[in-house]
Amino acid sequence: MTIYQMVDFLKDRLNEGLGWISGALQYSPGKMDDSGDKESLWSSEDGKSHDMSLTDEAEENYFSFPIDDSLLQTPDEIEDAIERVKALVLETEGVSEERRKLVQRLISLRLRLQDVKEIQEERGENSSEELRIINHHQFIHQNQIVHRSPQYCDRCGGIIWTVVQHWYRCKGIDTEYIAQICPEVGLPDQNFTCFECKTRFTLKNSWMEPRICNYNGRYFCPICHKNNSHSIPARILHNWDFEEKPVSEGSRQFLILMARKPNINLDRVNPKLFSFVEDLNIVKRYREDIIIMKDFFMTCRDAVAQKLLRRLDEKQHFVESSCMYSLQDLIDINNGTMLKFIEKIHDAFERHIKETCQICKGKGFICEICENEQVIFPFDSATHQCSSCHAVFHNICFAKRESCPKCLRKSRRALNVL
Amino acid sequence: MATRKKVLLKVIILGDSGVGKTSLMNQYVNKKFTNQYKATIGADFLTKEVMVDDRLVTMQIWDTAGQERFQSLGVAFYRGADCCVLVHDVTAPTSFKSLDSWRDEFLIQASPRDPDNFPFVLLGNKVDLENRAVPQKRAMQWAASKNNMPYFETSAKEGINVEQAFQTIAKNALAQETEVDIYNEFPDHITINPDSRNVRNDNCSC
Repeated sequence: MTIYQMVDFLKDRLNEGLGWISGALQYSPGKMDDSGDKESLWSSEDGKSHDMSLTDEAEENYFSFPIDDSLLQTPDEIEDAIERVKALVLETEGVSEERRKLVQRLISLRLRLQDVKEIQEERGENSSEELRIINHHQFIHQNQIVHRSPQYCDRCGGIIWTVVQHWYRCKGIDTEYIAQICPEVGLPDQNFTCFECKTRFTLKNSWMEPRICNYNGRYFCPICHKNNSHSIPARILHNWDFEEKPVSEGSRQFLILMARKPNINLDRVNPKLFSFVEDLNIVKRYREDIIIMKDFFMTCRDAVAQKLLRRLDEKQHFVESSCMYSLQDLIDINNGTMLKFIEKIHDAFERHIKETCQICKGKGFICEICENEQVIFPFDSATHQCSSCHAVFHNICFAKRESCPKCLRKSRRALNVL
Repeated sequence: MATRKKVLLKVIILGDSGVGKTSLMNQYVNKKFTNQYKATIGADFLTKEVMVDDRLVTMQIWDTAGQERFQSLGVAFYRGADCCVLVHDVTAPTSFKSLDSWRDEFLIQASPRDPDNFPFVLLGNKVDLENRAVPQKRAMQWAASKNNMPYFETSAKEGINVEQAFQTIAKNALAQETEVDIYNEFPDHITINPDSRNVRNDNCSC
């Protein structure tokens, strides 16, 4: 048994244990005893007997036995459940509270079936990711161990020990901003009602002003839209316009919640922005350098001991890629704080690699073409890095050659071996 | 030339992944061995003070990653090396076959002043194992064909021949270092050609 197999084994054991505990807290213990038996998950027999014995607390009892669809993951399982609920509906009396609940249950199961089927079609057959679908969110099973700051479970708030525990992350499908500037469709489209609370806009008793939300272009009542303002993502992304405009309360909450999530791929949304906004272009270059420097730090014991990469903690996504920005990043770039922040870190990183650390300096390159003794680095300007063998040359030196000398050497050697 | 100042000898250990480069270094420097395999990422070095011919020298031993995927970083540390240690696993013939390319690549990247006489030492590691696949004779022949480089059969696990091998490495490295010193006493002359400046002035467009 290798160490990896052992870790997997422990993971399974531990999760079985924790699953049982969290399950016991979430559902009734009776249900967990035979979680394999689907019937007990939705059968009303259980509930009925309790209803009778605890008449006063019937409502409470209902809440203490939440029916959890999330355990049903495959279309077969859901179809099976639908058939059983159908049979139960026929068993109940014509007009009863119980039948009403069962029919509701049937509807929600059918919606879920549709949901699961659609998602599976979208993903195709070849996807190997393990997926759990809960309330339209797609939770993907995570395999990698996360070394940086602890991960927390958003449900229970506890730390997730990624080395020994299974964990899931939401694919985050609806987390992109609306790309159009205030896509107004007009009041008739929303039946002259508030988009949020569905209150009618009427002239009969008193004038209720329909207020437009500058983020999603919908109309809201004064209760759902208090004329509070916020910067609008689409205006920033298209026009680099940070002016705050009135938005609905819902949109404002969403924008505040999302502000620090790196969900904007500027290269895809509006790459022209880089040529128009000088600071943005500089930040982009720094970020690309930092991604290259990361490779040096990951293999340097000094950098690990000094926790150099942790200096980017408040902008963790800068360590992961160079193309994703959060709305807050763009706001910071516009007000100038970002440039100062990233410049300081970039300089410190560069100093470590090029001056203070002997190991990192040793991992630099020497241009094979000009044989100049000066050590060069892939993040230096005026250097070229070969995409296949990673050798680094001066730009001018490489321009004189047609191909990478190291790659040529390698292929010649491979031929000799054959 | 009887300088008694402290010298730093830079030694580079090269070879395929899993042949025991890190283990050899650990056995020599820390007298420790572990059966657990942990791939080296990037490069790292350890230092050890040793006496060579009555001289106290500091050996800076650079351990490298044998795996291709960790070779995306540069090898500027090859420059200024005083000795290169090539390691193969006597139970793995492929690790023996790739010695040639490790040696070539080292000579290109390190570009020593005198590549033909640069000190290499060959180590055939894991002789404690029974399933030997590279005969001693073959390894010795190869070493002899490359300017008679010294060859040692070692076991990092049992500590066989490790001390002796590194003693030779230190000795050969010191010999190289002394030669470099001689070079340094006679730096290349810099000749300033007055004509070249004139030519540049003529070409200037301003």
